[in-house]
Amino acid sequence: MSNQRKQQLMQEALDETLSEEAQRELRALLSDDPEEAEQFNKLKQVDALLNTAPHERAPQRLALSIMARLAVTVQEQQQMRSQSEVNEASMQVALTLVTVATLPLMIGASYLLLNAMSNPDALGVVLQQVAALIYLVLDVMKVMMEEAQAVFATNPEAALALLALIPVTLLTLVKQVLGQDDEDDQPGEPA
Amino acid sequence: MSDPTISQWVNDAIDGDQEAFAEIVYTFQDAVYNLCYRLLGERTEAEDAAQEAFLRAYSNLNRYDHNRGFKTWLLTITSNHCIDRLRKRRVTWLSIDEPLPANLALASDEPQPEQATLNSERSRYIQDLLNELAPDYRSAVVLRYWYDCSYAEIAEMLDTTESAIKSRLFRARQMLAEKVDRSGATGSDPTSTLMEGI
Repeated sequence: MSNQRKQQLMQEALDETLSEEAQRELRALLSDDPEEAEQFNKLKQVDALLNTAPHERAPQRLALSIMARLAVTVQEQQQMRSQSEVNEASMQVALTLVTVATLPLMIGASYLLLNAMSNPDALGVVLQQVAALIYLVLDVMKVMMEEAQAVFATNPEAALALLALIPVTLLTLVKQVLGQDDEDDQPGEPA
Repeated sequence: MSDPTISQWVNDAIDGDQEAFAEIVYTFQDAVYNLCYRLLGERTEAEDAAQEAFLRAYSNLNRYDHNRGFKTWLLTITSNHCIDRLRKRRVTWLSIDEPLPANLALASDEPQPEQATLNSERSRYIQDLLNELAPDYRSAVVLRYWYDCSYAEIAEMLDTTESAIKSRLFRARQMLAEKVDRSGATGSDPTSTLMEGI
């Protein structure tokens, strides 16, 4: 008889699911092999021991502790939810502000482009400047949005302020660029 | 299929009714705590694990399938959590002759009449045996003997096959038998019970 078969017979005997034929097979095995008989007896003793094992009852304080922890967890979740709503509203306001503030810049750039198109000689120069300006604007916006997102998680008001700084910064940059252009133009005038 | 009352508690708890969840806790706290204690072998940790199991269950109530028994679902969460804890402290159960933790011998909250004391001693002895089994074996034994789970249920709860569970249980019984034999605790004549029940 294979070990697997012996194991199956003993297992089924312990589970009390042996058929009559299998019972006879197991009896024969146990009668012929004292080692297997002893092994089976030990298994039965363990089985009996485990079957009479008492259930441990929960300490009386357990339910109260669970409900107390649950109350704290639920409160935290509610706070996070309301915080999340505030954050979402702040982000929407900030993005609207940014859009409103950058709109004149875009219109200005389009105006420059259209004017330049009527003067083909200047078109190349203006396109270059507009592209540089847009590139600069996008770069600054990207950096500031990343910063705002980082601050956003902990302090939505600060993030809002940071986002509101975007148009101010952009205007400063534009002034800087235009100022540079004026300086670039000046040396050429006497010539 | 879950009990209609329990299903109602689950639905109410999902809607934010903490009283309904309290009913669930009161109903299943002994089953969950016993499983934690039998798997972890230490009362303080079992209490903490039971709390954690209930909180996890609460967070996942909306995933509960009402066609499944709620107790089985809850015990699955509990056993998975306890097995995770056991795996993190693997060295504890690998040591064969490790003594019982000191706080295992602490008195319970309830009075200790003679029968309770006997039960307590037996419970500790059995726990001592269980502590030597690896988590996978231990969980199979506990779910089989303390919760009367079928092989199929245990396999589903532990995410494995029925044949794997049968094999684990047989091997676990063998290991426990060797330990009982070494300790000489049962002290009965091997031939006396040999033919009983077969």
